[in-house]
Parts: sequence; structure tokens; C-alpha cells
Amino acid sequence: MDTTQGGSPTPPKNRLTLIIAIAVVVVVVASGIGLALYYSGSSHKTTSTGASKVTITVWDSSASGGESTAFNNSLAAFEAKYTNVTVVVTRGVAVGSSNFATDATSHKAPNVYRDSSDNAGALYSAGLVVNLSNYLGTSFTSNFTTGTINDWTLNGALYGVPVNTNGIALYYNKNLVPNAPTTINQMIQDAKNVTAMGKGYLGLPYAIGATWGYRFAAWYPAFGGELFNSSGYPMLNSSHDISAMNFVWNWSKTYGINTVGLSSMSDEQAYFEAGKSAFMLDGPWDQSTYQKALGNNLSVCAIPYDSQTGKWPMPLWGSIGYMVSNSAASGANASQIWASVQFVKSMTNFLTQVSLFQNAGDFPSLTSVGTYISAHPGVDPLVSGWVAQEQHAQKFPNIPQMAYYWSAFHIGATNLEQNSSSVTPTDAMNQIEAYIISELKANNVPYESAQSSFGPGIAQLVLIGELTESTTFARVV
Amino acid sequence: MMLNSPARIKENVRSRKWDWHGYLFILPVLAVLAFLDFYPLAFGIYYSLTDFSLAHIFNYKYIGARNYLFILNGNIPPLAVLVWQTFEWSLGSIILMSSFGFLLALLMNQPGLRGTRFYRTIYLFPWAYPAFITVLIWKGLLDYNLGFINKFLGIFGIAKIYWFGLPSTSMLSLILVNLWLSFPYYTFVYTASLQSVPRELYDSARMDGYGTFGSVRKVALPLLKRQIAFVTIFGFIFTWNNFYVPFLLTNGSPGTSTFILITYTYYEATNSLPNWAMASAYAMISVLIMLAVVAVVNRFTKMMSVIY
Repeated sequence: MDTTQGGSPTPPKNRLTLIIAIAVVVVVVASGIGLALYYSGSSHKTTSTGASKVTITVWDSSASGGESTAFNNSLAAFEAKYTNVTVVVTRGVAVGSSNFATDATSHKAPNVYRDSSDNAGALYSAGLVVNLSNYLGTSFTSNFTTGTINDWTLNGALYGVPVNTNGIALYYNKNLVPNAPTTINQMIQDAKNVTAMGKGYLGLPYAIGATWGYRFAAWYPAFGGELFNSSGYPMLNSSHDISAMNFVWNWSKTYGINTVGLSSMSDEQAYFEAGKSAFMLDGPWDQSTYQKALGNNLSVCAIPYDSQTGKWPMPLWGSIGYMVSNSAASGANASQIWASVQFVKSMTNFLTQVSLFQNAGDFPSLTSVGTYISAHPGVDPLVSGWVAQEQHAQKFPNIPQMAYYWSAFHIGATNLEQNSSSVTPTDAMNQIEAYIISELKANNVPYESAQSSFGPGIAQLVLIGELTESTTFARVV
Repeated sequence: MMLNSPARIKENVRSRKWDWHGYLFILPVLAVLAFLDFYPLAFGIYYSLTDFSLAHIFNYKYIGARNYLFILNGNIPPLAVLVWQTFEWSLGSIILMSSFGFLLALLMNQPGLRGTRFYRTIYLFPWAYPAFITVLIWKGLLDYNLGFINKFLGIFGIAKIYWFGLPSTSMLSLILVNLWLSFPYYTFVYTASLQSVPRELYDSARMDGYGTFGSVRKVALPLLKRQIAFVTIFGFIFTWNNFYVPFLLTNGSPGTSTFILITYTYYEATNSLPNWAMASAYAMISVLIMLAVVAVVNRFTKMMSVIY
């Protein structure tokens, strides 16, 4: 038989192999098509439940420990009250908008997400989050502090409900600095005195670029500066903001109370926890750590004001809260959105926030809980310091532009630290400004989301020569 | 006409019927390649030509080469800087890993060396640990205040080093940690290669008066140069795309001084305002550069001949 001519009958062994091969192909192709269909929005269809049973998905970013305890208690209370609602919780989700956004592309985002107000602002701007003003009236929002509601409001829309509020203040070691400084000059002098003790003491260790400008933002208002102007344009290379950078830079260069090269907050914390530094700029989330290290020597106060100008440093006063995704992001139907709103109300109510304060030290967004805390000062002996700082805080910007500040600041500040022989604070702030503008152009911000039309994006405005400081972001804010 | 003459063979090939059975057998491979390679690659190229980002999540559109032009003309950090840092990371790592691995293999391959099995077990340790954990341990070891390395250096009066606080030391730290993670692989591969060299050739070299290094230079290196080129170049490609070490240790810090193309691509796709189109463009640029490098290197080393 001439086998080279083909057409010979396939031997049984080969036939079996052939069948297996075809089966593998069918399985692979079918799986691929199935996956493609699954992720291409087959679940995007908003189906009416028809029945009273509703299931909602929740991404919880509570920290383990006290915050989780408070969350679990409130979840149990919600499930007892709304027996027709099943809550599927994914725990340990990190705050940050990218995970949510990625899932939203396939309409698989969770119904409820716990995140910071600025990240949520970006998601709202992208048209992924429900405008809760349509569900929660002023009778509800008036129970919250004005600052926290402002944190969660963009273009007049309430896009989430705050569950706490926080920012940074000035921790100090009473063993080294018996009394809280009342002016910036006094703070510098106290730090100098501690540094002069030698033997590894350093008055005010501060890794400028480490927290990506979160803590540094407190200094702009002290010199009359700001992050963004009222039109949402970055103001980082204004003379005021440059003065702020000059001031902090001089902690290392002139006063010797800081050192260049600290790469992270843990470097600063090592000094403070070892009792080797006078001050630590940090938030309440690390208070228990410092209490363990310093005991009764730990205290906290508002960052002191500049006695020459009368201006106060103002830390970003932010908020964590809950938002509800819309049907485009999660495929939610009306029943799920309703149940999600009830869930958010439950997770931000009086009992939850008291539990959060008692278990995790989270400061409340509800005025009534603030009153409760004031009446029970024994729960947190340092609470007066935090309350004092809250009087001198700035709104955490929740416009999309804010997302580009972090990297920009980190790059500029690090450049200054590493190349101080050739880079000045002015150069660093110019670089920060340039980076933000560069990112805004690259990402075509402001948004042209389906939900809201802001007209042409930055890149188009640049192309047609309309990019001016006064007009560019007017539509965003 | 002769039985196997060229004309006869041509005639046979022309008259042969098309047999579709063979294609069925390669279909599984084609299907897997299509779904795991070609499909994502095609989508990556497509997305890089759109404005797919959080800003245009449901209404993205084709924008041509605008993302590429932006990367080439104006983004921060500049593309040239990112490419340079990627080369710094890849070349720095592979030179150390390959030479260190080869040296260790030579030591392990010394005739009469006692405890070879013990040594081989010992140098497998860095591989036995999950790399993720190893990286975190090194992060602690290199910590400025609390790290063992600085404390150890302090015993000899050496000032503390900001391993992750300065651009120069940060990249060096990354490369050293990568060396720790990777040298067992290179040592094993080179040990296997060295053992394939007939012992008689070393004996001959000795009889000709060559010492240890002379034998290596005259016997081992010439015989193994293609394997060395292959291992080194594939190691370079792997390191070029090695994500977890730079990501876990520094994530681009300080500033952008330790961003490499792969980690910056990830950053573009996962920051607060993700820009998936821009990330895809960076990924495509990385692939193109890598292909160009491999083509050039292969032209000089013919390393692909080890495979084909």
C-alpha cells in the first residue's frame, strides 16, 4: 500500500488520539467563548427580581481588628432587620479605585464599596457610582458634620456616606517636650533642643516624599497656598506653595532637626517609638502603636500656627465611607440599589460609629457621636488634641485631578532630596506642577463620562490653544 | 528517471493529496495559543490605540497612535529614562547572576570536593522559600534603622546606608536581592552543563600544563559558550519582565528611579485613575524593545540554534 499518497484508513490508536485532540479543541474553544461571554456583559442585563429576595455584594476595606468587629456587629444588625436581603461580603479589600474600576469594565463591580472620599470622587466622576442625593435628603445628611459631607459631595451630588473622619496632627513625646508647642517657631526650637542632645536624637524626622504629599499638604495653607484653585487648576508652583517646600526643606538644610534620606514613615517611627525624637506627624490610626511605645509620655496637639502670619497648617481632613455602584458598573437592578442604600445607612448609623470609635479609635462623621465622645472623654485621653486639629483642617480634594498629586509630589520631593546640590525647592515644585499637567493631558481629564458632560478634555483644549489657568477646569468643580 | 531524483521528489510532492488529519493534531496547540497569546496580544494592541481609561470606561474610542506619541514626546518619567532603568536592572542582574552562578558551578564541579550534596542542598535554600516571602525578608534586612545589614555594617564602623532611600542604592538593592533569588537556578544549569564536558578533556588540558583557570578558559568556556549565551540571554529576557522583585521592594521609589517598563505599565493600569490604554501602549513598547534586543543578540550569538 502506498502510504505516501494518503487516504489510508486511520489505525485505531491514531483514531483515539484524534478524538481526544478534537475533544480538547472543543473544550478549549467552548471555555474561551464561555469566558468571553461571561465577561463581556452577559450579566449586565438588569433583571427584575420579581420576588422580595435581594442579594447585594459588598467589598469591605475595614482593617482587621476593631474595624472588622464593628463591621460584623453592624452587618448582623442589618441582616436581622432586612431578612429579605442577602449580603455577600468580600473582606480585606484594599482601598483604591483601580480594582473597582477594573471590575466595572465588565459590569461586575460590587453593589457597595468602602473607600476614601477622594477615590470615590474619581469613580463618581467616571459615572460608576449612584448619586445618593436622589435617595437621601437633607434630613439625613444634616446629621453629619459639614466637613465630612463636603468630602463626599461633588458638583452638588452626594456620592457616598461618610463613616469616619481623620487626618494628621502633631504627636509629641512629653518626656522630651513637656508642653505642646503653640507656634511654628516654638516647634522648631523644641526640635532643635532635642537634636542638640546628640546620641542619635533627632528633633523632627520627616521623610518628605514618603507619604506622597499626604502629610505635606498641611503646610500649603500655612503659607497662604493651596493644592488646587477654585477652578481645579493645580497651584503647586505658586510662590506660597514654594515657600511651604522651602520651610520644610530647611528642617534638614538649615535647622538640622531632620535628615535627608529617610525613605519611609517607618524610619521616622523608629526614632519616635525609641524615644529619640520629639515629634511625629501622623494620624490616629497609629496612636495605639505609639501608646504602647511611649505610654503616658505620648500626647497629641494641633500642628501649631505661624505667629508672624497668623496662618495655620491645615492637614487634609479626609473620610472613609460607603458608595453604591450604579447598574452600569455592577449590573444592579432597582431592588439591589435600594437594598444597598439601606445597607449604607445601616453601616454609618450611630451604633456603628460608636462601635468604630470604641473598638478602632475611628473618629465619627455623625455629630451625635461626636457629642457622645465628648461626654465620655475617658475612652480616648488624647481626643482633645484631635478635636483641636480638626478645627484647622482643609477639605480633602475629591476632584479627579487630585489623583495625580500623589505621584507628582513623590517624584518632585524625592528629586529635591536626592539632588539637592542642583535642585532647589522651586525646581521641585515646578516639577510637581509639570507632572500633574502632564498626567492630566495623558488621561484627558476632565472627564467626559456618560453621566456628565464636561465638554472637551484637557488634551483637546491644549490642541486648540484654549488651556489657560482660569478656564481649563471650570467645568469640573 | 532516478528513484529519488529532485524531479521525482517534486512530482511526488505535487501529486500528494492534502491530508487534513495532521492539522487536527496541532489544533489543541493552536487553540491554546490563540486564547492565551494571540487574543490578549491583539486586544493589547487594540486597546493601546484607544482612550480606554477610567475617564472613558464605557465610551472609549479609537484614537490612533496618540498614546504612543504622548509616551515618546511628553510623559513623565520620559520613556528613555524608563528604558535605561530597565536595562540597568536587567543587565545588572544578569551579569551578576550568570557569572556568580557559573563560578559557583565551577566550585561545585571540582573533582574531589567533599560534601557536594550538602552544598547543593544549601544553595537550593533561596529557591525553596516562596520568593514573595524572601523579598519581604530582604526588605526588612535592608531597612535603614532596624535592618540587620546596617547593624552588621555598624560593627565595622561603616555608616548606615539608605538602601531604599537613594536612587543609586535602591537599584543596587534590587539587583542584589534578585541575585539571591536567582543564583541557584544558574548554578544548577551551569553545573549540568559542566558535567556534560568529558573529564578526559580536562585531564588532557592538565597534561598540557594548564591549571584550573586555564582548563576552564581553554576547555569549558569554548565548549559551553552557546549554552552560556542561551542561558544568559533568556535570563535577560526573564529579568526584563520580572515584576515582583522591583514591585514588592520599591515599587518605583524613590521618585521614579526604580520603575522599569513592566512595573510602570502596572502603575498606569492600577493607579487611582487607571489608564488601561496607556498601560497597553507601554506593554507594546516593552515587547518591541525586547524583540529588537533578541534579534540583535541572536544575530551575533546564534543562541536560538540551541532550540532549533
